[in-house]
Amino acid sequence: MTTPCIQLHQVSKFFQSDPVFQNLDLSLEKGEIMSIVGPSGSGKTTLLRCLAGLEPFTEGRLLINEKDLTGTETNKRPISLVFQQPLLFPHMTILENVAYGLAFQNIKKKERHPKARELIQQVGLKGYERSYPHEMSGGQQQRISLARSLAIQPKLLLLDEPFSSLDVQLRIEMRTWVRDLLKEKQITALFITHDREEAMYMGDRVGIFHGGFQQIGEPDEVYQFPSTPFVAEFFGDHMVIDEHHYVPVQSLIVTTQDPNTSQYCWEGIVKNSIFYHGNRFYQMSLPSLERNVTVASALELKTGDNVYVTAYPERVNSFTNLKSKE
Amino acid sequence: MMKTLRHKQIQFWVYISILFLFPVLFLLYKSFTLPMRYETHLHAHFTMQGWVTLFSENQLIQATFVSLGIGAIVVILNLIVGLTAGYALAFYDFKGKSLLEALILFPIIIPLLAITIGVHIAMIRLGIADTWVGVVLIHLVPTIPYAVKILRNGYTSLGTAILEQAYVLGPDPWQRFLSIDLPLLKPAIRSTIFLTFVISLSQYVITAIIGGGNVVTLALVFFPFLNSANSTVLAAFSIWFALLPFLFYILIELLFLLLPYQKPWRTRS
Repeated sequence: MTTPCIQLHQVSKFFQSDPVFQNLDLSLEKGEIMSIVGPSGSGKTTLLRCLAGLEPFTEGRLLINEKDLTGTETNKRPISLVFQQPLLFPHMTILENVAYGLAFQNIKKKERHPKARELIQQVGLKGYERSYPHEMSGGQQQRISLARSLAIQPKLLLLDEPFSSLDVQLRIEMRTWVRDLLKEKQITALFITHDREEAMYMGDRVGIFHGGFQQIGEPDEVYQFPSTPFVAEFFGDHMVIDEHHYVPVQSLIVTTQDPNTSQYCWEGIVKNSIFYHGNRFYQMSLPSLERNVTVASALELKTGDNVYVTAYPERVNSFTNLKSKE
Repeated sequence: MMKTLRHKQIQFWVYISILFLFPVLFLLYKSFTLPMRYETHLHAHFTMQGWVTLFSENQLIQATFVSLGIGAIVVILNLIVGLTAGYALAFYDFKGKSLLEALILFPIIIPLLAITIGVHIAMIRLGIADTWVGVVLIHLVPTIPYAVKILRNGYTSLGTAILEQAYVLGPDPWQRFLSIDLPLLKPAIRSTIFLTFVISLSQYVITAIIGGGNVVTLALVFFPFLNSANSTVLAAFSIWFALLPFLFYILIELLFLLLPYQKPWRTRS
């Protein structure tokens, strides 16, 4: 087996004495895309900034192709970062923007513009080379920003919620398109988002981040078998029963009559109803668990109705990290 | 809609004419005509006397160059201090930051004369009184606060994000400064240059005290003329005086063209 392209060994980051994350390990294969998903304020942006070198790691080491880059200056790292905003340089044309990074890479002047032109074509904006950023739409600007980051041929591409400033429709279009482009060019990438759908779509693996990685794995696996209550609630559609057990929401059953099963049955109150993909969902609160849960049901229910929510005992699971410890 | 736009245009030109064009043109007119007296009615007498008197002042050309030189050095020092201090004040957090900002503004709050007289003694001891070095240093006192303030605001409105984005793409700090900071801060830099140049140009008292008569700037030549009642000569002198910042402006704009990624003649496609 080859050694991974990107390796993080026991990295930590402290602001003064408050830890943002501690003792993280992570490795990425060449060409792999990993999504990091977590709520805002979970420290995922700080992790990216540390990787880019805009902030130093307090502890730990970063290796790229077995070369230690922990102390390397930002501008010398073979890492590129796409921010939330396109941040194009307003005084340069699109072509100059994309070619910007090439000027610092011992690439002959004559070769820079053809390279940039090729990338502009790949991001589907051929013909805009002589335009200025302010003449482009938000989505176009973000694509140029991506092209500019790809131009320097980074060993690792970091994307910090790059679609968050775009509208929903465009966001869905962009993520399909960006994933295809990254795969085609075999770019190793870390993709940060707070949107779990986006994370599942973009990543070969996803990492659930909340002051450190809660769980890393393939999207399906993380979705179906969460390792902690946090992952179950944040990433999967599960209802956490207690510290050790959860049940997938789709296997919950709603009845108006008491089903007379003592185990895994809770009283609930209907809060409201919504339609999603043609199905009716009810949001209800379960006072005994102090939780809200959204369950599909064909019943006609009104806000304020009392209901019973039941789970089959065989569908109730333990968190995976507990299983391995047992 | 069109009507209000037209209306505003007219308004704009009326204000421009009254406040800017008229005074300048009137000054030009005055420099070529004899002062009006009661007997002369409204008939203008053309004369070159004003300009002849001006150029017969043997210190004029040298004083102009001294002013230009001192002004240019003051501008360069202001830019160095302003850009570095402005960057630090905009982006770094440290203890006593607001105190430092207040201290930088002090020279405009405390009377300049008080500072000058105090500094004069120090300069005599250091042996830079009566030299152009001393004059340059004292001209920094009323200009630095403005330079730091303007460039700090320039950096603040630029924001860290775009500078970080540039840095990630590989330039070293100096390359980044030339390709990103300077072009994007151009409006702030331009304001700093002209403000500090004009302030330096018009300093009379502090130049006289520190220069001790050895350093003769244009202001020092200009002020004695105020005693002469000849408004024709005065008008000619004022125009000469005003020409200096104007020439400096053109020079600076030409220098700006040397920055990377400048395309002043670009027409929209």
